[in-house]
Amino acid sequence: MKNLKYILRLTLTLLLITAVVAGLLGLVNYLTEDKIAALTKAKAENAMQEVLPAAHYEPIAHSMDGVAEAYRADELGYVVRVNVNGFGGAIDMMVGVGTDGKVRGVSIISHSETASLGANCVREDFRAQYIGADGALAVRKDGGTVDALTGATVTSRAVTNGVNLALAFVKEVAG
Amino acid sequence: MNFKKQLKEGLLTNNPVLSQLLGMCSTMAITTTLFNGIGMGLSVTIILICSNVVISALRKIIPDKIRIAAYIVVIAGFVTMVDLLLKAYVPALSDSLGVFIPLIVVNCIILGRAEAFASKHGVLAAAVDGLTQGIGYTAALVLMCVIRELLGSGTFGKGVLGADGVRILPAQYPALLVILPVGGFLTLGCLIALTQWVNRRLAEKEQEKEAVK
Repeated sequence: MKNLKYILRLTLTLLLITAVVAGLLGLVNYLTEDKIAALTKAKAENAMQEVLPAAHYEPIAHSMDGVAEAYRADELGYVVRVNVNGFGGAIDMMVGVGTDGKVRGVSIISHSETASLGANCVREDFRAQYIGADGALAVRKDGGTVDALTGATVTSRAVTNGVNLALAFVKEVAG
Repeated sequence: MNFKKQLKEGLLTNNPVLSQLLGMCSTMAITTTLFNGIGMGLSVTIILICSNVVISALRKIIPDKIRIAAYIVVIAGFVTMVDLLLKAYVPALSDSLGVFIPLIVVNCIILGRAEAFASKHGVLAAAVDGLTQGIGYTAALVLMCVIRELLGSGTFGKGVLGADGVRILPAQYPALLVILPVGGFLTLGCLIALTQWVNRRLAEKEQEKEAVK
């Protein structure tokens, strides 16, 4: 009987602590939820405006591996959000492709690459070299034309693959 | 006042990173820019103070057998709150530290202080312990950041003083190696050796003082 009481006390104490913590977490989540959602949305929209400025983006269906979202940007072309594997995890990026099938802009939404090395993939001079490309791209080490970032061939390869993926997707959609 | 003694322990003789060798994972992974170091240090300090206070206040209510589970629930709660608040109000820091904010849950410093100090002392002492250990952790991180950023990127204050910081070494000199994990181990090893040396000097001085008396 004494043993049962002790077990009950253990269970109830832990239950109480967990319930209080869960309640507080619910409160903090309630307070920050809208703000986080708005920030995430604004970030994606900024990236879309950056890669292919348009007044309206209309979501289109997609089923290709690695393509997270796809939009038709008025009559200007397509914006494709792709996820590729970098050196330190997934790279979430937005690629704008014109109706002529050429890359208009590349924007990195989030990544977890090494600071000062792969993290340099957000730099404009690196992203700018994709603009105007329309065929299958590759970094110089693989016989292509893309200048890889110093000490970050894997990251550069991943971004290049992402651009290729977006181009392939647009080719399929546009026919 | 005990504060001075605890501060000295947090910074030197019982520094969480350099003497107790706790929280190595985050120390190794995020100390590449000053911005990261300060952000991580502050986050851990806040969580450490909160969890120390709560665990110390509950130390007579929590039965011994389930104390670890109870501590982890409290710590995880605070970490998740800080994670959500950072995401909402300081998104730049949240992006930069990424998964290492949620990983503070398993940072041994926090559980270590809960078990070794907060569960045996009063609320005020536990809060002071959280603050001084947090300062010690932040100091160690900032030191690592400054060294690795200077030698690895050639800059100072990346993210704090402008996005690219202040360039000190010309771009062709910095050694990329220092930014990579290898450089983290090398820097940490040197800092630990230095701390041990300073600690020994301090202990010797104290002994001399005792001998004179």
